[in-house]
Amino acid sequence: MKKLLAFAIAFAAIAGIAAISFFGLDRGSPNRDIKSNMLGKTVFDFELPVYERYQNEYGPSFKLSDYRGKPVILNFWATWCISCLQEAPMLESAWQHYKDKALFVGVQTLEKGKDAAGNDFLSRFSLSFPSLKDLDNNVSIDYGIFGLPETFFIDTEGKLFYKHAGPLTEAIIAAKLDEMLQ
Amino acid sequence: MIALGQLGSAALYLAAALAVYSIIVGTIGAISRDAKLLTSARYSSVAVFLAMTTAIVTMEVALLTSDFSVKYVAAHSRLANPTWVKFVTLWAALEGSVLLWGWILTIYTAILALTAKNNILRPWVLVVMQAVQLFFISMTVIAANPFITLLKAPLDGPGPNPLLQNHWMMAVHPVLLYLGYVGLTVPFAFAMAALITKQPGTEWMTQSRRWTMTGWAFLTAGIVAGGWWSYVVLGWGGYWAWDPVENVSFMPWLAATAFIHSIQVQERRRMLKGWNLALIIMAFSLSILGTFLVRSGIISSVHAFGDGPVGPYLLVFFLVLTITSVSLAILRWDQLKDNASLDSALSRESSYLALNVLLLAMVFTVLLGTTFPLIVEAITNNKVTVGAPFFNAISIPIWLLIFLIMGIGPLLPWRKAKEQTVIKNLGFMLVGGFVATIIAYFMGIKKVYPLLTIAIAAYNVVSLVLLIVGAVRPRALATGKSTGSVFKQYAFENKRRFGSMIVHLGVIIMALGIAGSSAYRVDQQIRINYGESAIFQGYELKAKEQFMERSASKISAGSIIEIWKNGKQVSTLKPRINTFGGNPQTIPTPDIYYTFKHDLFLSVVGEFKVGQSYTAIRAVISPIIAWLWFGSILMILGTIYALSPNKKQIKVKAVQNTTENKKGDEV
Repeated sequence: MKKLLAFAIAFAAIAGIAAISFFGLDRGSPNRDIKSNMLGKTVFDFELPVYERYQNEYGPSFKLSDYRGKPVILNFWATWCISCLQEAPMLESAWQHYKDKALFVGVQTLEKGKDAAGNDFLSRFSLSFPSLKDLDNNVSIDYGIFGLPETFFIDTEGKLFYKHAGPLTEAIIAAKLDEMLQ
Repeated sequence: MIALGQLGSAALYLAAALAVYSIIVGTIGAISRDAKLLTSARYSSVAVFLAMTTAIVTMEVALLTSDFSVKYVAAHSRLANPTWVKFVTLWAALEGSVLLWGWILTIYTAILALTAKNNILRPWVLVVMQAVQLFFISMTVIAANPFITLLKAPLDGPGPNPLLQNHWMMAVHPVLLYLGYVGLTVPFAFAMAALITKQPGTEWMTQSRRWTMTGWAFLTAGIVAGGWWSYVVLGWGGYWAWDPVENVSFMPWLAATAFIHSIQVQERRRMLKGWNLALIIMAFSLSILGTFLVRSGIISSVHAFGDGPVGPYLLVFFLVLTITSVSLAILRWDQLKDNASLDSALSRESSYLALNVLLLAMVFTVLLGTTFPLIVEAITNNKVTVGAPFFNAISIPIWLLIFLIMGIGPLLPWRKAKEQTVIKNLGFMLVGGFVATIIAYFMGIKKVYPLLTIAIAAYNVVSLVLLIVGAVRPRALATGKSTGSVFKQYAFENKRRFGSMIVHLGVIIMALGIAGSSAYRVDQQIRINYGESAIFQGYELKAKEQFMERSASKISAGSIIEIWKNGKQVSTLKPRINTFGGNPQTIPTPDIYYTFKHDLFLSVVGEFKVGQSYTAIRAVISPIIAWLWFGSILMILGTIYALSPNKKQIKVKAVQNTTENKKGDEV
């Protein structure tokens, strides 16, 4: 009898722990993606130098507010960021798809003076949408960047529509662009 | 040239294969009692250790030479970091930590393979150790391989989490914890071997006692080091927040503490066999469960661990581990029955039993509090948090009861105590506690819990004095020697007993430190213009100027604040904000003026801009917080003292050494 009881208690405890653990695994991590305070508000304007290869089209410096009227997808990246490396080819292909609907803009940040590495990054993935240099990291601070990559979907009026932390997928870009353009 | 990533991966695969080999050969050898197979299994344990050492060394080489083709290095290291940071980056993230954990396991297993007593337990101990080890090695191979090679290596990495780079303590704390967790694996393996071989006597625990104590001491040191790191790094002036990550290291510690005490009952009275097995199974499986809870990311914690594929892996291991060991215990149920029973409620063994119950109540409280948000969410879909108030409300009374038993337990003889002696001793202790409380009350301590803590501390100090007097006085009277020399002899000849007294004294001092620093903490935000000063708790804080220090890997900016007391400058503090290149996160880093009476803790808060005319700081006075660290050091020293070989053993070893030397000379 005692044996049965000990057996029952031990296995009930293990089963209980297993049950809540499976629940936890199924649910995944509690959401740590901090919502941006800027959602629905006009985003900070900035003017940043443009990487040389894009200067013909966008000029030596890029001012965000000059591009009102078209949605802007603002992607922050750095050469040391593994997820950015993984994300880059997808961004380029999405850009080819949605060129007419939105402007993609890359911002290299958190690595001052890494122009050579940045150029290498842009060439490696033949990125054809413009990339800017956030030399003193001010723009990433203004936008409250926590980790890289982070991407901001800015609507035609310059208001923040959606912020994405971590690598994007083309499906998310498509869905958010559709929502934004409706 | 072979890439480091490939070399490391190869070493891991080799280690896994050798571990599998060692398990199979060891099991067959143990069943068929084939000495050759067993020897082969033992030496393959050493081979696993060598393979894992190759993996570890490879990773360190990759980190120190900043080989960013190795994914782990690319994701967690950085060119500009100082060498020590690069070195400790090995355990700054999940994959490396698992690798380190596995490596430490292989060290312990190799030592066991070479030094454990040759008896019926040894083959099974090694098989169990190898099985645990195989789990960790295969986890690095399958779910958390740090040696994945990147096709396109980045030119630089982001560096480890800035919070981890901020203090050298971070180099020590995780290693201590792993040494502790792994230390618990050894008695667990011995317990399993005892069950498998139907030898649930005392042999397994006597043989693993040193390992248990060592593991416990490392775990203690690891937990306290974590608290100290939190105190000096996190800028909130506290050391324990009942965060899940802290809780999960505390649970195995509690179970192990119960185990250390409880095994003495089995050694002396051949009782509590089942209890002891349950306790060590619990201690070890709690360490795995805890690792699962925090590493899978299913519980919110201030410690942001990423969720990787290791969660399900750890959970499966926890289930296999607990189900196997509990089933094994049920299978051997008849051998686990105690032959003796409690003779009296007033005996050493009953006090240990009470201690077991209380410590398990603590384990249950912490486990429930930690997983409660998950339970509630599973049932009602509501999100709740369980904070410090819950844990404090339940654990403080339990701790006070534990301290009551801690005082009286060691004074009780085995089997049955004479009531008169107990009453006399208790009388001394209660008077001691009462007198201390009165004195404390008139010295201005009016809060209930601190007063109770002081009472119980004094009660325990009297108990320690009674223990020593009780041991020393009769001998002094009998031999006519001076009390001092008898005391010295007693302390030297009874290292285990005397060591435990030192540990208990450490616990008492720690308890006082915790009570004082939490109940009488003053926490205030102050704004001081540069060139002016503010008064805080008897100190004059003179804000001098801003400063900025740059190094290749970090930028520190902060305020220089002179600390004056009674018209004399006693210290200069430089609370600051650190920014580690490659990461935008700013880390407020406090600066602390340590004294025996209290710590003055300053941390920069709010906005800090160059050229700002004022500084906003958080000032915290924590009374007798230094006692906490001091007490924990005593606990470790006491354990070391208890484990240190006594005279006879040293002599035997010395003789061995000289014979070995002679042999060497002849060659």
